[in-house]
Amino acid sequence: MKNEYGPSVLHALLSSRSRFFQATRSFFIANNYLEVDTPVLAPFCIPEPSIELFETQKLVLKFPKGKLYLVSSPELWMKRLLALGIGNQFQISKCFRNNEVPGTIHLPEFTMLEWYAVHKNYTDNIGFTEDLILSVLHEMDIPGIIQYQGNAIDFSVPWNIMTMQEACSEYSGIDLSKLQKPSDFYDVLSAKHIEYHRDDTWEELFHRLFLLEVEPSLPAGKPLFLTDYPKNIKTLAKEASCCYSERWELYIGGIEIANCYTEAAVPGQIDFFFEEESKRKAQQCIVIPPSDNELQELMRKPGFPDCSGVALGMDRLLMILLDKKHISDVAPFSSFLL
Amino acid sequence: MIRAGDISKGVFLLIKNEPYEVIEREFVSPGKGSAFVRLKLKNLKTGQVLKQNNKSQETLEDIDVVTEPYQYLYTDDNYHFMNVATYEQIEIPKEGHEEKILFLKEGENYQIVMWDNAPIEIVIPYKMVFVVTEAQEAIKGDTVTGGTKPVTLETGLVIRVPLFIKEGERVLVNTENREYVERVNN
Repeated sequence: MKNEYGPSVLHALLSSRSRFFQATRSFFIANNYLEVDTPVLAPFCIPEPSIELFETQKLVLKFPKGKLYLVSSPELWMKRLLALGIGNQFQISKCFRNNEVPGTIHLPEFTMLEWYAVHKNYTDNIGFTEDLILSVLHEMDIPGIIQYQGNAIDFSVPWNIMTMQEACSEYSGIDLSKLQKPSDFYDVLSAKHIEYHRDDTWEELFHRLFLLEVEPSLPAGKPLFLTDYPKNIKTLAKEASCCYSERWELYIGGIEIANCYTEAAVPGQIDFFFEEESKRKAQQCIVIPPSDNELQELMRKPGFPDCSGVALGMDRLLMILLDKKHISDVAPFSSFLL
Repeated sequence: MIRAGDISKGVFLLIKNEPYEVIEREFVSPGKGSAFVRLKLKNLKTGQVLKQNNKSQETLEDIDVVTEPYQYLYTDDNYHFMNVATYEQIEIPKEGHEEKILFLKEGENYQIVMWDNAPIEIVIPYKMVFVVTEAQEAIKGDTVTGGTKPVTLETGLVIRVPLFIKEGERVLVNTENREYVERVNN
């Protein structure tokens, strides 16, 4: 066995994780959220071309009876619960992503906190997320200003909020609203000597710029909600009138911690997402599960509630709170999986 | 050609006909989007640093380099080295390699990276021994500075060392982060 932790280090880590989970649960229960638990296996998926899934075979009496996939998030089950009228809900669960990039912030198996708030939108979830994390800090006796890898992070509210349009203008000098088609990027990228290919998708062209110039420059002294992502990045977030989606990512210490949507409710957008992203998944992925058509139907029905959902990487947040450099430092035995 | 996903630190690439060394490589993968390799590259002619992102499946042109041992002789506007096998002398412009002077010791052998029959890079060993040429006596009871003090080494490099290190002693230094490793006994 890899002896990466001494018994006392392991005990301290397990205690921290336990307090962290308890503090999180207490906050949601105090806010009248129902804790739910749903399968980590599923026979289908919400099509996301950038995510590779783990696939396994179901056997019955030793005969193969179809394939099952480890879920990349509990979204597909929790949205069924929303459709069934189970209201505000949260879950802390294991999620699985294959083909994750090497580095300090990815694990093939990780712990996700996911919650849905009905009759709320993505801006409502900004204050709620601040309250959640501040409550966790308080319960864990962590001060409001912490050091992460030598840099201070000040958790006092309000946290920073910046739209993607503002961030791109500030750190890259570009007007994102003018970049609607892939070809709109060509001159911008050429002028900045950023390489691209003519067959790049809009999302890829955008990320060439965002990951090089914008993300590394985002202010990290306070948590930051980066909001209003371009709707050309296809997700199930509600599209606002112009060119962006009602979506934010929370960055703490420069690391992506959580992702929030006002959930899409327009049948046309939902159908377009499932159909287009299924096609792209079939082209780009190695493991290609069936698309979750039932969920597609449920989401486009009038009975599906207006709501906002957040997925938060628990290991990443704990890694920052405990000032650890590598996500595997806070997830016991996870280095066996790397 | 090399896939961007297979590139590691220390690989040499040819970009727009200029030789570059990969000095940092990081994988980045947004929650909702494609994975990229974020490279920090140093132009070996100008010393300029270039940052670029590549999709992991993209290919880049890697260059075949050879490394040969050379003895460091002296510096004027250029660094002068002599091939230890053939005694052939070469020079490498200081421009773009200014910081190397802090790690060059006369008479010491270094690996020189050659590309297209021209020297493009001086490889500084990861750890090197230097003589301390200037050190102040430790002030008794000084705990404010965390038990370290600055000293100057024979090449002009200034590093922080424990208080017990004296002038004339030899220390092993991590050349990458310029940190003290240990005292070397004579």
